[in-house]
Amino acid sequence: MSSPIYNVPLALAADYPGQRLVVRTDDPAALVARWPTPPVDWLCVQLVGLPDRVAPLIHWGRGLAIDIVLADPVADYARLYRYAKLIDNHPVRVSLPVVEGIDKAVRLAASLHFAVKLEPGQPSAISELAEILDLYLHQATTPQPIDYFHEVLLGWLHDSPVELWTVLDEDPTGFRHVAEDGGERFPPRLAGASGDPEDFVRRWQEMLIETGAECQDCAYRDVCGGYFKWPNPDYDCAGVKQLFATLRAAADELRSDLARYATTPGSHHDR
Amino acid sequence: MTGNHFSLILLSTNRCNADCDYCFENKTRDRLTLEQLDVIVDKVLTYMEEQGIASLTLHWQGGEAMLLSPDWYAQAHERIGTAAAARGKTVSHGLQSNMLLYGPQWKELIAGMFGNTVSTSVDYPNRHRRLRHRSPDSYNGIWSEKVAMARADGIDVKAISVLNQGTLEIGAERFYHHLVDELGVTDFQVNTPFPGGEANAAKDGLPLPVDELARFHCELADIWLERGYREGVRVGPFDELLNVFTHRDACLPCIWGQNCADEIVSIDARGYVGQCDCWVTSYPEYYFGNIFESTSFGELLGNSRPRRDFYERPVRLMEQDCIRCEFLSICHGGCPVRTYTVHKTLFEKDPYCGLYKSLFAHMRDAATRLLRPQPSGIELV
Repeated sequence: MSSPIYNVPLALAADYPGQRLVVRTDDPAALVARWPTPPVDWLCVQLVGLPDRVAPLIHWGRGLAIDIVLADPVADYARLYRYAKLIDNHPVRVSLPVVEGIDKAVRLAASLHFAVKLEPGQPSAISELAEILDLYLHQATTPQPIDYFHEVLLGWLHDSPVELWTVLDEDPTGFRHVAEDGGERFPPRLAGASGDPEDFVRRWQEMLIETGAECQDCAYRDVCGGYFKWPNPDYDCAGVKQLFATLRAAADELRSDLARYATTPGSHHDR
Repeated sequence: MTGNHFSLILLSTNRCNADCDYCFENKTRDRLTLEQLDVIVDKVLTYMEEQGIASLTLHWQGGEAMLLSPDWYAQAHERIGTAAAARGKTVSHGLQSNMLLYGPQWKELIAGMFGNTVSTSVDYPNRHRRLRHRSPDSYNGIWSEKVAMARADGIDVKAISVLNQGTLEIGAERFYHHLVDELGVTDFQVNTPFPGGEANAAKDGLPLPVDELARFHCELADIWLERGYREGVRVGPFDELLNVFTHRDACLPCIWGQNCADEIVSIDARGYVGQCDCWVTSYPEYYFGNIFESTSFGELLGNSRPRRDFYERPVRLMEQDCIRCEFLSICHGGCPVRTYTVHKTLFEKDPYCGLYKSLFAHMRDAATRLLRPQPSGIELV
């Protein structure tokens, strides 16, 4: 089993040599000054607090992923333009919580060719998510992935479903959050969780089954894995199930289209 | 990824030998000396070192760039190359010219410095390009002769064609036939006019009617797809839009970009720095500064309040209806100078929005048709 990925503050990055790191900072200039060349083990730089000046990052660390945390997508979405130039040299992703009114942030991120990571939690903004899902599935000018939709779709398309815990970097087995004081914590959404992080997800899933949660008979258990039942097991999954159904149907349709295309005269496969 | 690069539009002279009605430039008699060029290059290379930028493209324009001699450019080429090499930077050059002064004395220079390529302009019908006190017809005659000469010398001549009301009246078929079949121009881009610079009668009718422009563009695109696309004819912006909608790498024109302030800057022959050639001679309120009066080009750019307006523009446009547009990822509110010359502010969307939407939808549909397997084996090129 590979070692976990650590999300560490910039000040502590040097304490994790040889580890796969997501280095978070609100000060790009300090990052570049401290690490003129990013170590090969770094997976990503996570920008928090929407720093104004990102020019130091534009030509630094070519190819290193950058994750922009958009904590208030409704108020701050237009500020994403200040990061537009990063895409020249970095894969860029915007991580944002699912709240009412996030569609503008998602549209803008997608139009800037940023990938999007929706952090759904236990969402109430289902209609908004449905609109974003439609954007992801059908708008030709949305070239980058919108997760979790993208990974779930691909997983079903290729018959290799991936759990949301992994897609959303929240499985403590694979992802550890290091606080400013150096303490290792569960990923932020799992604040309040306890026990061995290595088997948190398994224990959670077992608990849901044992307590008779609707997960028992859920058609999407292979992907959800009880994700939407944390922290409140009584969360009504009807809305997110509908989204899963749409994704499943899209995967089936895509698989069927691909199979039909492969046998169509004139296709690249028909040679 | 594309981005270890800086683009600079450099006006070697503000003077021009033509007197086109719709010109947006405020033409002065200033020209760069080689010593002034050294100063500019030194400061730009320092900026590139500070930013970690490896390569530079100098887009030489004017006024009319060929008013300086081939020997001047040859010396410029050598001096720039030496300075860049000393700092580990690479520099490439492009030339934009009206070609009226082309002659055999330019052949070697264009081959060596500009990759044997020149970009020029040709309008059809030509109603506005002219020499001082002479008719557009006389301009056409000289231009045609010079371009033919350049082609005979093996130079690849690309063209920009600015549409006018007459173009819309003659229609896309005649326009395409004239440029491609009669003039042999097989690599050109169509541009929309805007009332830049000093007002005059020729600019009164601008912007052109969006619905007529949209119809013209879509018809022209269809003609190109039918007759030119598979024959190696390149017509911008249709070719790059096709790349967008067929999910290939695309290089869209500067009017459609996340923010042109991220991509390019211009310096004129007086040392004024502006967003591009559309701005740098004509809009003092949007000068970023003067490179000869600044110790640091980086500080000049970083401290410029007018430049901050360009950065702020897309942010402010997202408060309007652009955020809901399905083509936001292509357009981003369009061109700042087209907006400013019509609305007198940067913070509105491009007045040609309706044209762009129509054209984008048209090319999207064309791309969809091309992506479908064809029984006859016709493929995406």
